[in-house]
Amino acid sequence: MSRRRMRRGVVGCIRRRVFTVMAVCQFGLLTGYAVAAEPLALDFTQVPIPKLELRAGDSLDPLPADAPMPSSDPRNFEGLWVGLGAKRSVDGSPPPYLPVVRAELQRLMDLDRRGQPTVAKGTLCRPGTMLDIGINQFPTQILQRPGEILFIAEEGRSIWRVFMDRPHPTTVKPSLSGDHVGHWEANTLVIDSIGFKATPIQIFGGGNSSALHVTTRMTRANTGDKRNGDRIVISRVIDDPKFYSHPWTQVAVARWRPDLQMLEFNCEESPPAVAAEGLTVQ
Amino acid sequence: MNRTAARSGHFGAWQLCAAGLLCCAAAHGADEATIPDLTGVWMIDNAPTALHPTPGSAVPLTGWGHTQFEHNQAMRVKGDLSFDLAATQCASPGAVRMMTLPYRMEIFQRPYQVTLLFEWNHLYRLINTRGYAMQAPYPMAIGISNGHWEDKTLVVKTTSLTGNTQLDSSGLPHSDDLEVTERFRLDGPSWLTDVVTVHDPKAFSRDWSVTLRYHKVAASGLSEDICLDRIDVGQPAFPRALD
Repeated sequence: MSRRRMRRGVVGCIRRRVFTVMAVCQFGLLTGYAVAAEPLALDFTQVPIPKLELRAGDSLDPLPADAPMPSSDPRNFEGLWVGLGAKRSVDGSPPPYLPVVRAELQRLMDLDRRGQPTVAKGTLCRPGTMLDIGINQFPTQILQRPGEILFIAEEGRSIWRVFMDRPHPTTVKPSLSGDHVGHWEANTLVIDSIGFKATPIQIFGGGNSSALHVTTRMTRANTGDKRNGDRIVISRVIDDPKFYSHPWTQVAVARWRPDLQMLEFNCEESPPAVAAEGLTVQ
Repeated sequence: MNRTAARSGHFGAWQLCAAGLLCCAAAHGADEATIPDLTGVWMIDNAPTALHPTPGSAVPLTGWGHTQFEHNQAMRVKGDLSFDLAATQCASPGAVRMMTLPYRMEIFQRPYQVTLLFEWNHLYRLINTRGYAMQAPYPMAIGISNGHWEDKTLVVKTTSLTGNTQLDSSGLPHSDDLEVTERFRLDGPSWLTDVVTVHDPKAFSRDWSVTLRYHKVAASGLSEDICLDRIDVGQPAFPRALD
C-alpha cells in the first residue's frame, strides 16, 4: 500500500495503528531507553536521553545542518515534534487490564487470528482520546502562548488544548478531546486531563471509560547533537478504574523536527475500504 | 517519497527562526515589525453556498467544467450526493470550500507558519511562511500552502490539490490542475478579508477571484465537532450549511 493510501484511507488509519503498536513494541530496540520501574514518581533527571543512531527513515533522518534549534527556554515546547515510540509501561509489564477488558481484547484478537479483523463502530477516523505525542511516529504541532498550550496531532487530527490559567470547570461536557489544565513543576509541564467521552475497547489499543484521568508530564531534553535534535520526554499516568486495576505509566520520547510540516489526515475520504479489506465494523 | 524528501532542502531562512522566538517571516518587501497579526477566532460573514467571481458575474466554466457542474447539479436534484465526499462521508471539503463554511476558524500566527484550525470536523490548514517552499509528497484535499507577506497582506499559494473535492457547497467542480492564490488582509481589528483567486485551466477559461470576509468573534477556542458522529445518526455533515 502506498504511503498516500496509508495517509488517506480508513484501512490506512488502521494499519497506521498497527504500526503504532509495532512502534510501541520496538521502542526499546530503537532507543535503548530504560527507566526505573517506579510508575508514579518518575524522576526525569535520571532518565537517559536516547541519542539515536540516525538512518534514513521518517523518524530517524538526521536534521539538516542548518535546521533551527528549538527555543532555549526549557519551558517552551513550540514547534513540530515526531514520536520515536513508547514503552508500553515503565516497567515493561502489560497494562493492568481488568478481567472484563482483557477478555474483550482476547475476543478481538481471536477474531483477528481467524481472519475476521474487527473495528469498533464510532472509532474509525475519530480523534483519539489520548495525546499520542511521542507514542506514534507521526508529527505533533505544539503552539504555545501565555495561558494556553495547544497540541495538534496529525494522526486523527487530535487536539489537546491545555489551559495554564484556569482549573477544570465544575462540570465538563464529555468529549473525545477532554479537558486539560496544566502547570509547571520546575521545567516539567504537568497536564491534568479529564472529561473524556467513553470509547470502546479496540484491538489496536485504546478504549476508555468516562472516568479516564490522565496525568502527562513533559520535559525538554537536549541531546547535545544538533543533527540528532532535541527531545521531549513524556510520561503519562493512565488512571481508569473501569479499564485498569490500578494506574499505570507509559513513557515516550518525541524528537524535534523543524524540517517537517504536518500533512493531511483525511481518513474519512475512503470508508468503503473497510468493506473491501474484509473488516467488520461492530 | 518520504517526508524529508518532501521539503525543499533549503534551510537558510531557518537560522533565525528558532521556533518563533525571532521573527523570520517570509516577508517579501514587508516590514517585519509591522506585519499584521491575524491571530484570533473568526467567523465567515454571509457564508456563501455558491461562489461567484468578484464583482458579480458568472463563473467562467470551460466545457469540461460545465459538464462536471451539470453532472453534480443533476445528481443533487436526484438526491444523490455521492460526488460530494464531504457531505456524505465527512471527507475534507478541500482548501477553498473549508474557507466558506459557516463555522468558526481559529488562526495562530507564527513567523514560521500560520495555522488555521477549523471548528467543522477539527480540520486544519498549515501555511508555511519559512521562506522556502514546502513540497507535497502527494496531492491532498488541503494541498500544500506556501505563504509570504507583501506589505500587510499574507499571500498564500496552494498547490498539490486533489481533484475530487468541490470549490463550494453548490457542487462547483475543479480539476487536479487547480492552484489557488489567497490574499489575507486585516480590515481594521475585527475584519479579515481573503481574496481567493482560482487558477484551473481545465475547469475555468480564465482565472477568477472571490472575496471572503470574516469577522472576529469572542471565543476561547473551538468546540469539538465530530462529523462522522452526525452521519452515524442520520444527520447532515453540514447542519449549518445550506446544502
